[in-house]
Amino acid sequence: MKARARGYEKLGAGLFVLGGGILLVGIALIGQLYNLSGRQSDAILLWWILLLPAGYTLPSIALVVLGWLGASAWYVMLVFDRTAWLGRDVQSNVPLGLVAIAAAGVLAWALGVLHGDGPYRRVRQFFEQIGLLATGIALVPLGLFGNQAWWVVAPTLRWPTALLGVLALATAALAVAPSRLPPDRLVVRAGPSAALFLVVLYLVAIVVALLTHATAVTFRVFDWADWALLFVVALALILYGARWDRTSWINWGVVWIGADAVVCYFELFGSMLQTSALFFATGVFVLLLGWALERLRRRITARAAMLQRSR
Amino acid sequence: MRARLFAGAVVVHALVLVGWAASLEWDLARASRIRLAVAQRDPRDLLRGVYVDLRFEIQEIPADMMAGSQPDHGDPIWVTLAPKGAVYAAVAASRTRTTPGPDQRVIVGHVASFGARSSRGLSVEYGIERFYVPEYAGTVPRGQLEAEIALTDSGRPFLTRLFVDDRPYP
Repeated sequence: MKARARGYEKLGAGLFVLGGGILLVGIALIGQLYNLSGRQSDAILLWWILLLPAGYTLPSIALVVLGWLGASAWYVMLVFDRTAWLGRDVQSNVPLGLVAIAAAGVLAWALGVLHGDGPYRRVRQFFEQIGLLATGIALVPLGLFGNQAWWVVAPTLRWPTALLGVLALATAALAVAPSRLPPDRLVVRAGPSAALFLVVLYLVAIVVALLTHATAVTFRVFDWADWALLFVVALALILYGARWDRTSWINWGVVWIGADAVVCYFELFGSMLQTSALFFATGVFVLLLGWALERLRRRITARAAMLQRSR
Repeated sequence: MRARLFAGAVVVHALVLVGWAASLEWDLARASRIRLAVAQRDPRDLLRGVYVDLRFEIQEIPADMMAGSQPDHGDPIWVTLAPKGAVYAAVAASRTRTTPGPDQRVIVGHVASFGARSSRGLSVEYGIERFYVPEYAGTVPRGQLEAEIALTDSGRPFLTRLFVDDRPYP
């Protein structure tokens, strides 16, 4: 606190992070003293629950980011632990794990937007990056696996209530998020949330299809829907990012479109091996698209930066 | 004001840790001690230092021992233990809280995994499967291994120490 008060912002932030780390070491030491070998995610839960209120109260951006990093790690641990409340929902079927990651991504993006452009701007940026990364990481493989038999090989036996809870939480956060976006017409501000709400709807549809053992054709339709969704949401991110000078949205939008194009290419590669001409055309198309998208990204980013400088 | 908030945050963190340790001490002080047979062990972890991974005989619950419906991953399981020689062994398991008979104890765990489809048995974790070796105590010597468990009335177990060939370690 003293270092920060004397202008040594980074030293103060570093010491806060060190203190937060020591708290985690303290929790681990108590666990070790009493030979506790329960779920490690419980220790991480205690850590971030203690860190976050301290981070927001002081306030310390470093502690807040550290706390939310802990929360992200805790969530990932829950997804992979089949004895935990979330893990046992998603471990019965691999695509449900991807749904959990995408739902958390949407939730993280909305939480980021809720931090606004004030003192917690860096927390917003951190959340938006984490959220868009997680959503993209989950949506791309969901588009790839649409025609794989193992979607239905491992049947889901029970309603994944915890997973549906996370999806409901993401929906609620999306509903509130527009209130913290830059001043604009209400319809415009609701745009990004509406685009990401399409992702939530898609994820819910996947859960229902898995529970009801939908036909292979249905999953093939989900495959195509995933391609379209990635493109539409990415386009929305690029447009709104350019409108409100949010370069991370633009960058992730371009990355999503690029990933979507590569996914489409591999989908064609697997099913149309005999048409070598189509391969060639697709390859050229992907290369050209990548080149064009990179040019578009540079142009929009430069324009956004110029706008920012002129203000 | 900020300095007070900072001090408050530090005090809250310290209080939580001290309170947690105190509650564990409280449980330990009121718990009764029993011994469990250790089926196998892994003596050292290269990444996390010197601790012993233990596998207890009571972790394997055969299907015919399980009362009630089939549990799911992570569900709590109440396992009734009865003396069998110098150690306690599992005699019954249930998805609901059970009242032990005379000389019996109840230990609570959660379902970690299921056995082969033919056996329908299940593997239970109790949160005592790891023993941290105190510094400079050396590795656990070879021999017949048993673990001393402090067991609260509610069935929560604490791993207190190990016995190698009936001699306490460390």
